[in-house]
Amino acid sequence: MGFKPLLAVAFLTWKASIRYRFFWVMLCLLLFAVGGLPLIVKDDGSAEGMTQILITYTLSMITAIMGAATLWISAGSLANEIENHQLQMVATKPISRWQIWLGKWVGVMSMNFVLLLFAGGVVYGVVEYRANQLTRDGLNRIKDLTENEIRQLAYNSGIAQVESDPKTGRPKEDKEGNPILVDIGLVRNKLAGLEEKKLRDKILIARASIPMINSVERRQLYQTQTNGPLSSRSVPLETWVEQMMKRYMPKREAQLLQMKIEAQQESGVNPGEIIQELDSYEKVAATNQIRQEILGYSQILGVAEGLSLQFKKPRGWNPDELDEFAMRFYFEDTQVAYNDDDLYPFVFGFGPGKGQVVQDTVQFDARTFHEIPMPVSLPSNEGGRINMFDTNSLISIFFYNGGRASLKVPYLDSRGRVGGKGVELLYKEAGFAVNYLRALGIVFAWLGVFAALGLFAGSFMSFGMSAFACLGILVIAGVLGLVEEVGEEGTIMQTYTDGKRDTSVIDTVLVPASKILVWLIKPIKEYSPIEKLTEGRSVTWKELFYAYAYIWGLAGAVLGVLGSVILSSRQLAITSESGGGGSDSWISKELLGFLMVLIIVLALRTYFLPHLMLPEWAMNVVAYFLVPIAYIAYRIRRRFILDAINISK
Amino acid sequence: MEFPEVTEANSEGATHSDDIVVVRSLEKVFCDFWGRPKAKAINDVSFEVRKGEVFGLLGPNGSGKSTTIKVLLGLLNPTRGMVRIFGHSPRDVKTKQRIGYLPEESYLYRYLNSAETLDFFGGLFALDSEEKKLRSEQLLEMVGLKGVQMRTVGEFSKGMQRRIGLAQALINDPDLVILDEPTAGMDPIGCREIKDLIKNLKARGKTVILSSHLLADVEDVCDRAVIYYGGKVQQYGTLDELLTERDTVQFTMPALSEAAQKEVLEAMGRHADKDDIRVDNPSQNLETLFLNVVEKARASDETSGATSGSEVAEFLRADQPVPTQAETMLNRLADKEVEKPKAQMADEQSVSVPESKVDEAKLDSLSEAKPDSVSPKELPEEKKGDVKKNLDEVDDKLSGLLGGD
Repeated sequence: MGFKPLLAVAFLTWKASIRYRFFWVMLCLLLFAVGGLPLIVKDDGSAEGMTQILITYTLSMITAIMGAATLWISAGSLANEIENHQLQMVATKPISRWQIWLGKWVGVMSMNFVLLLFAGGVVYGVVEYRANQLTRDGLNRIKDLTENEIRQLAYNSGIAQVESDPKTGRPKEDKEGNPILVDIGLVRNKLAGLEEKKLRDKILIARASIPMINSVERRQLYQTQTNGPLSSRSVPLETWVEQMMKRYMPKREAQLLQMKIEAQQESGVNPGEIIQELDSYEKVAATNQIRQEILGYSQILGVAEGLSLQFKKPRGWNPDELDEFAMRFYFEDTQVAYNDDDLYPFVFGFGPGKGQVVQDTVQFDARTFHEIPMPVSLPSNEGGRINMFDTNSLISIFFYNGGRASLKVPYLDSRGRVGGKGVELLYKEAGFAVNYLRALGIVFAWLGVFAALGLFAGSFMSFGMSAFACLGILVIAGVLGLVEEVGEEGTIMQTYTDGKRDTSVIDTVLVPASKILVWLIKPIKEYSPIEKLTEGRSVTWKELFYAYAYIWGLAGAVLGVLGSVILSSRQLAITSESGGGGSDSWISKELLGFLMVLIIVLALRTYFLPHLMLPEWAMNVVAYFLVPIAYIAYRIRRRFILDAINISK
Repeated sequence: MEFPEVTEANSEGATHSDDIVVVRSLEKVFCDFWGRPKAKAINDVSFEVRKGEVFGLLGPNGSGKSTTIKVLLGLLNPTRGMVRIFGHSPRDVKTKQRIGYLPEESYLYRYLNSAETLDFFGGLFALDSEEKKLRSEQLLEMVGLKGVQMRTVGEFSKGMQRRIGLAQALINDPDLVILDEPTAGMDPIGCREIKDLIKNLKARGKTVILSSHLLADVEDVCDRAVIYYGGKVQQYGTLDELLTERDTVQFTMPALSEAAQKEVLEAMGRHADKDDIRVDNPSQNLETLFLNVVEKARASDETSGATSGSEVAEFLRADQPVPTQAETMLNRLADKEVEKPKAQMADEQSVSVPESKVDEAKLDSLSEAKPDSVSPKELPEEKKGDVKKNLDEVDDKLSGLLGGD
């Protein structure tokens, strides 16, 4: 028995959607959404803004339309066929229930594949067309200009007018020693194509970041005498943190001790018995806390203070000597200046290993991403070129705050590890087309989970119920931020009594539920390819792999296994319409039962057990161990032992 | 009568002699959502179906026939008891390869046309595409849907849906065919064709389980039957056992002169009480009359509905090719009866016996009204006397049937 029965089921899904015109409606809807609507969407006028909006809008539309349709179709294709008894006909043929389930999934997904390729192709076509249009417009603008005017404009825009030797960068000369001018046709095309090139360099590209490694130094510029030369001093971050801790630790400990004593006094401990020192646990906690604070503080640069960061060239990237990459720089003014014109000077330098080759001063405004082009290698004075990456593939970037105010350069990420958005080195990892395909690949992975979710719901609920449940999950995923907040704050109540937030029975259920939901949905949501695509960031193969590994390997597999087990265990001849009360699957009943026990356990632990004056551990054992074990034992006895006796009778 | 399929069935299938289906103390209780028992659909049902026989499940509506069939197919889980098909559990996937199933109603995909329907179900049996095509064509020919294969099943009349349902049940050339009310919604020709088909399947050594509340169906084709009422088996045995009145004999002969008749009666009177002897002219039964009328009409007329099916699909046929076309199915099959076992012969003969003994409506109402009293002895008792029909009534019924489909 091969895959023929499975493919027959998959093919049937196609037939149904073509006969019911679902497929054609989807094609038209997608064509309208991705081809038609963008024409009337407003952009900010710039080519970049236009492209970003176009990509964001169209891909979001594709995901939304296809996601909803996938849920609908997959829930319907199973639930409807069960309710209309058609699945009975299939189930009495030599095909396992899991094959039916998988066949439906393959059918829906193969259709999604075609639809996604179609819609994605249209979007790609529109983006390419608009990018090319920029050059055509450019040519149109300069078509009446004379050669000199064009050369002047091109010169102003930084387009080379003189042929130069690519190795040394020196201008080429003819036999009489005159510089050789670049052909006017080339110059014209370059000038006209400036906008498009900018777009292709920043957005229509796949740039990945060169990873920052954990070798950071705090730097300080100083003068030994007034108007004398500037010297610099650098300290490894760890040393700097230790120094800072030595300075602040005693103060913090004194504060904590003071608070501890006050707390004891308030709770009425005899003055003679008050503990006058912190215990070791409190000390360790205080040390860890202050270390985190200081690490965070290391991102703040006072005047003349600086940082040196190291990056390691990834193995997959083997740039040519003449290639370029880009530094992305972002900082915040610690005291927010609302005047947009405020510019802050920085001194930048970089070089291979820990060396320093180039240094320059630039002015930037705060809270904006700035991009500085960087060469992979530079011509050296002795001839030849110096690679900016040393033999260990390392490059250093350093910068000093050049004046005005304290600034924060967030080089740490939200978890306190190096690699924050403050300083990033970006290199061209792939072309836009490849990146775009990978992004579509991730969208496809999402659709796979949607299809699995729909089929899962359809396995044990009527079409109406499963469509409703799926819609609910979509909405919850949409307001994930709110759900997350509930999980974090530990209550959904926003009312207060005596300065404390109220809690209620609802919380016992909803808080863990929301935590589970966040745990389930958030990782899937994190694989968002659209944002990366609009920033010209590469959706790497690794990310694509992890997306599938997580989204399909975990969410998809769990839904698939549960769905087909439910389908296998249910009695197909019983439908909600025939009075079976919906699902007749024992596994879905067990799941429901387990969920109810979970709620009972939580309520027990929170509201009932505390009245028994038991120690904490005893309450935990009763609630989280004894009650579930008792329930499971009861169910096993009921299902496997009693039923076995019944059958053998 | 040795068929390779049957020997195969024996070697890997049922463990006990010829039992293809074994049902022991089967009980099915339907529960509501909370698991509270709602209805006991079948209660302590036991029977077995032997290789090569036509087995009938007989009973009024709601007596548990379909529930039994659904348990046999794994569409319902038994609450208690044991079910074995070919020696395996009803949920065994491989066993399904040898089973064909026609459900009580058309549960087909309404958006597929008949050719696509057969193609789909053939695909589920992993038939290769050429075989699928061949079988589809032959089956459509057989059930008389060849001319309408491009119309979707949703547009079909009920009878046509039954026909395509029957075709899909046979696409895998099954060893065990389970037919749930196969004649429901069929015109009399269709009914007859189905019965002929069942006999043909039997001739090929296949096993057939047939459920019906139409007594004529069961009587015409079944070797053995169970009679259900209220979820319980009321009677179980061969049709012979169930039907034969051992203490009565019927003679049929050409019409006699009055004197000759008197003479015969006198002779009979010497051996039996005069009040127990009955004499009447045999009347053609309605089915036979109807078939004759339609057979004549069919030669000239065309229809947009289902045509009356033609010969049995080639891949389903018994070893010897049968000359057909002009002959009716009945004749063709009657020819083959010669080879059949004795029980079958008796069965066939009853078709040609003048009086069909069937008044379905009456019997139905009877079996519903006082089921416990349904016993083989009483069955023929009820039929005496009221076979004669008003000729007008017959005409009405005929024209209704002909116009109806």
